[in-house]
Amino acid sequence: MSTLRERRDMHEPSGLTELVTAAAHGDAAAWNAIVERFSSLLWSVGRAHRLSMDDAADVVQNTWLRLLDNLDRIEQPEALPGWLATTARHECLSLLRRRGRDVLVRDDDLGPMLVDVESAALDASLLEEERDVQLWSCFRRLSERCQRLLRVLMVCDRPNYAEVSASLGMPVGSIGPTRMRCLSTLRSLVSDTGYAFESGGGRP
Amino acid sequence: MSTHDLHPDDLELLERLGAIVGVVDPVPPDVVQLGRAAFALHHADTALMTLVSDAMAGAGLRATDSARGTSRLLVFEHGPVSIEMDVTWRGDLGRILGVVADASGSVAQGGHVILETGSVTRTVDLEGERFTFDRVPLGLARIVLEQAGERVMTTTWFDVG
Repeated sequence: MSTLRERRDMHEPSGLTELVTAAAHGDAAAWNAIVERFSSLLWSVGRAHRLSMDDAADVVQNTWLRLLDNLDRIEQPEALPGWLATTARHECLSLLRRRGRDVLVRDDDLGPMLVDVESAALDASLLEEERDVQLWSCFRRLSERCQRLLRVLMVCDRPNYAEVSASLGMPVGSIGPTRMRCLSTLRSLVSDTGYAFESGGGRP
Repeated sequence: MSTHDLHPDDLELLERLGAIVGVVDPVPPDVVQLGRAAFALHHADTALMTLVSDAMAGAGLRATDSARGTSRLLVFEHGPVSIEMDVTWRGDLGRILGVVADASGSVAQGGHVILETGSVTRTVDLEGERFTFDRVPLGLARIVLEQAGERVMTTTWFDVG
């Protein structure tokens, strides 16, 4: 998996312009490059809305189909990540509506939540390092709103809050403060475990 | 430091979480492969009909109960051709009743209509100006007008359900 710093380079507008233009003219390799570049963003939007794997897969695929309809009409390819994130979010909401589910998250809903023990144990079994198990366990205890935000931040460019806003339907201005509160809560939970995650961190 | 800037420790923490997500919940390879394969559904030479009207019948009734049927009226246009569709659904299946209006007379007459969804493709004859597709799975679908074996026009993808 590429790092946030590496992905910042991958989102270079010039590269996107060429890829979108080439794909619109029938270049399958260019389309494949777009799919490979942004699948993690679309997947994270679906999973951040707590969709099952099957439903998240549908959201990803539907978003690609919507993009195919619009390939010839994209005037600002550099805005493609935001367009994809917005479309994926709409697909999530559409799917939840069909399922009869609603997504209601209050702005102040940032407190810790209970974790599904069975699911947490399954995740832990996949991780080799104990401190990752602890970190993931703490993450899973964050509020749904925090998990959504951090989940999308993991795959977005650092400064691209428009993308995050589009993914989650959050005002751009609230992302920074919410992110700070969520990370602060996460650090507080982590500190209770006795593990540290700062540079060079390990067991204190 | 602006609020958009992440402290290096926060960046490292997010990267660590990202690496964990890459283990516990990675994008399944088949999802990426399906995305690549979707390009086969792109027909650059086929005229794209655009959605000009989308009205929910009985607006104000929310489809919170999947057993409750409801419907939408969609209208697509391209040049002299338009398709008006009544899309209804109940439970897990939908039905599409369509009427094709072709002022040119060259697209619809004697043609076929194709329904494409993520999982099924079905073709019916255009009976006069009308066509019907029953038992349509909920999700995205599109309608293609075919003439003499050639795809002439296609709607954009629209929601059934």
